[in-house]
Amino acid sequence: MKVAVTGAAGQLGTQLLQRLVAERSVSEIVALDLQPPLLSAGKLKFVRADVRDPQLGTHLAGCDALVHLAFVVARRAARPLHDDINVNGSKNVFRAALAAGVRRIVYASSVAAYGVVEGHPKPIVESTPRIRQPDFWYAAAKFDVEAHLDELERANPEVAFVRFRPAILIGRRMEHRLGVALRKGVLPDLGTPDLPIVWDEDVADAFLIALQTKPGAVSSGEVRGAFNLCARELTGAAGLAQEAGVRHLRVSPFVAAFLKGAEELLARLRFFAPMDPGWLGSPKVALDYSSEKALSPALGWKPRYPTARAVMRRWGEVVPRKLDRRLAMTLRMVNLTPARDDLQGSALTVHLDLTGARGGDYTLRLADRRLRARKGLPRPADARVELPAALFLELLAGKGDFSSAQMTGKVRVFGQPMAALVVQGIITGLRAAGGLPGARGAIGRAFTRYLTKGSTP
Amino acid sequence: MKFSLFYEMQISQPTRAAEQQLFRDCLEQAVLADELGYHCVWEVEHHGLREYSHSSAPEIFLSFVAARTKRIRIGHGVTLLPGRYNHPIRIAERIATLDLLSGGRVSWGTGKSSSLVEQGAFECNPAELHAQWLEAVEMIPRMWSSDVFEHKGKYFRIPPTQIVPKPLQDPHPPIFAACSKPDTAAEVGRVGLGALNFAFGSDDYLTDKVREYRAAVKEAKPVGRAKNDWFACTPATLVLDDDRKALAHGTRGARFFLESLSRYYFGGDRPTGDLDVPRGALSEADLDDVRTLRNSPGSPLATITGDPVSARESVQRYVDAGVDELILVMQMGTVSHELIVQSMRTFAEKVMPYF
Repeated sequence: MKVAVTGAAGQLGTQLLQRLVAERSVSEIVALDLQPPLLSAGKLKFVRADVRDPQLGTHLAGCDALVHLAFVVARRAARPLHDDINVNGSKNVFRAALAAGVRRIVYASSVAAYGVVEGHPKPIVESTPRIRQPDFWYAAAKFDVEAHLDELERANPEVAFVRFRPAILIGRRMEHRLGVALRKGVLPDLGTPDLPIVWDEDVADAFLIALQTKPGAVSSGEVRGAFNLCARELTGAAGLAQEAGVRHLRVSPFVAAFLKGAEELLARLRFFAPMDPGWLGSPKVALDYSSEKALSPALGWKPRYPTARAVMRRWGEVVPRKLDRRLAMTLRMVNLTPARDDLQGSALTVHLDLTGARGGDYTLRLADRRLRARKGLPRPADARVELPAALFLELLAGKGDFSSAQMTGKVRVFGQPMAALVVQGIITGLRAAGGLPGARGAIGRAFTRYLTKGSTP
Repeated sequence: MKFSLFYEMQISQPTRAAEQQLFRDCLEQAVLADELGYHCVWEVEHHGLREYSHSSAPEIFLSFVAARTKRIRIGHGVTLLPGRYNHPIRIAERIATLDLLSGGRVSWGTGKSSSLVEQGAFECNPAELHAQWLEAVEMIPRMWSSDVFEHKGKYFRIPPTQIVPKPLQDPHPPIFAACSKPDTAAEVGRVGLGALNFAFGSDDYLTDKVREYRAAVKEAKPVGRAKNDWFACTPATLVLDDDRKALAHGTRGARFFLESLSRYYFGGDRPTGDLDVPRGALSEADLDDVRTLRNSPGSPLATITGDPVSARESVQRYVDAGVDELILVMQMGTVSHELIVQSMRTFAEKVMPYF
């Protein structure tokens, strides 16, 4: 089956692409975004496209399904631009897909579509009437797109529409303020009621089910309609911070109001583009979203991190905050390694994805008989090698071996498999250096001691 | 799908007596493979890679195999083509002689060596290996098809010479080339050679690589007289009725194989003595993880270890990717002769008939 994905380079898009690439029944993926996705694969075609492009349909020809993820969440942009991308862009995507004969449309809506306002029942279920919240741009846009989908659904009964209403996506690559704050080790608490959250990989799994890549996987037949996706047992900021291993920072209502006022004032004075005020304030409304329908056989969703605490614990386990200084040193050492004749003719760009609190994103580039490492993500990469930073450190120090780490799935390679050899080569090369005669051997041995003991060489 | 066996002549912590036993055991396995219906016995050529590969004179071992077997193909590959390892005339003569004696059963694989250890021992210039391979792989089929061979190239100038004998297979034995780096499968396809793919990857990656290869073969200007449209992979394999036992011994072997490979190919030095690599089995917890990962979406296609049911699942993935031949690496340094024989029999009886 052929699948098109808008917003393929984003937080959720990255997770979904990874699953689609692995899924054997998916033969072709069209990744639509303004920037290249984080991974490359033979069946993955990147198309640089704006959701507002009237010619968007040309990229959707022959697609069996469309997943629409592209949406501005919390970027600085004037409201007309914000709405043009989110509302008009989404309408354009659906129009193009229907015109191209796509028979399955899966849309990433949000719990915000219900409106973060007073008067909702507890819990909110999929049939709960949605309330448009005009002063929260994002929520209003989600409401408007869903209203448009209601019409399309009535007019096109032959097309399967699925809409997911996920809570706030917690995961590896959150680009918004909450994500930035967490990576800095702080969970700000503006006196907000318990945050509705969900682990982004669990949401990506739901999308995969909705695409019905495995016929018959859903017992009650075809997946259609709306599904809330939210972790159970929502918890206050203090509890979440504790699970994630970050500091709980209580911001007094006075300070919060001051910050919001300052932000709005500076935007009005054109110091920077305005921000959706919905993200600045502190909603006083405590809402509860039921995911019972998604968990039922109607979808058969099985989140691996089903509670709010489990989500934050997972965040604490996998999301990097600050690279371990021993790893930073190792990667700097890579750049000092002399050129090697046996690397002749090899060229490869690898995204080294070191997970865990002491991890980070690195680019390894093999070219001209040399391997170079630098901080940051390559877009696109020929491959991504993912492993826990702690494991990488152990392997460098000579504890355990790369091959079994790979066989057990502790090291995962996506895309060009030679990438694994590049990473393994760093480990083997470092360990072999200790056996060399002369100064290089002495440096190698000292460095291994440093890695083993964690002391400065 | 064709099923073959792959021989590195691997041995963990060798003694002279154990080396002799290794060669005798492998010969016995080849004879059994002939009876069990395996397609081909492939043997590599390496020099100085102690423990990882003691297969430095494959022409001798394969002559023994040819003499002791009736129908199985003799996979002489990969031969190292750069002139410092083997003069192209000597290769043409040896392959042709083996083809005559075996009754036309030779498949010939070509390569250029990628370990610094070998390159250093034979004083090769790594920068020239590819060009040397390309020149020789074009020369040798011409030696087989012309009465009088003459050559003026970058590395060889050969006056008119009658290269004898000629091989039995007409126009010549099928020719293959090793590919382990990203683009080599398509590169090999462009010169019309069969691909011996040593890289591991996901289903998606392999499918794509096979597709690229086929497209390249279609447009190929073959170096030989005949195109060889054939794509083979080399998974580490151990298949036994007892799933856990197969996993334990198979992953132990695969780990020894990969770690010693890594030691020789990525260390950047010339290791001597027993290699500093793990030789034991994976922990029980690790084996549980291997089993959970096995054949799950996105898992690497690198090993076929387990009971026949899981092996059939793994083989099916290669079938779906469009692979023509699986050259099973059962001979791994830490796996005993008895287990290899058991695995060969189980695979032949309970996996092979399904494909």
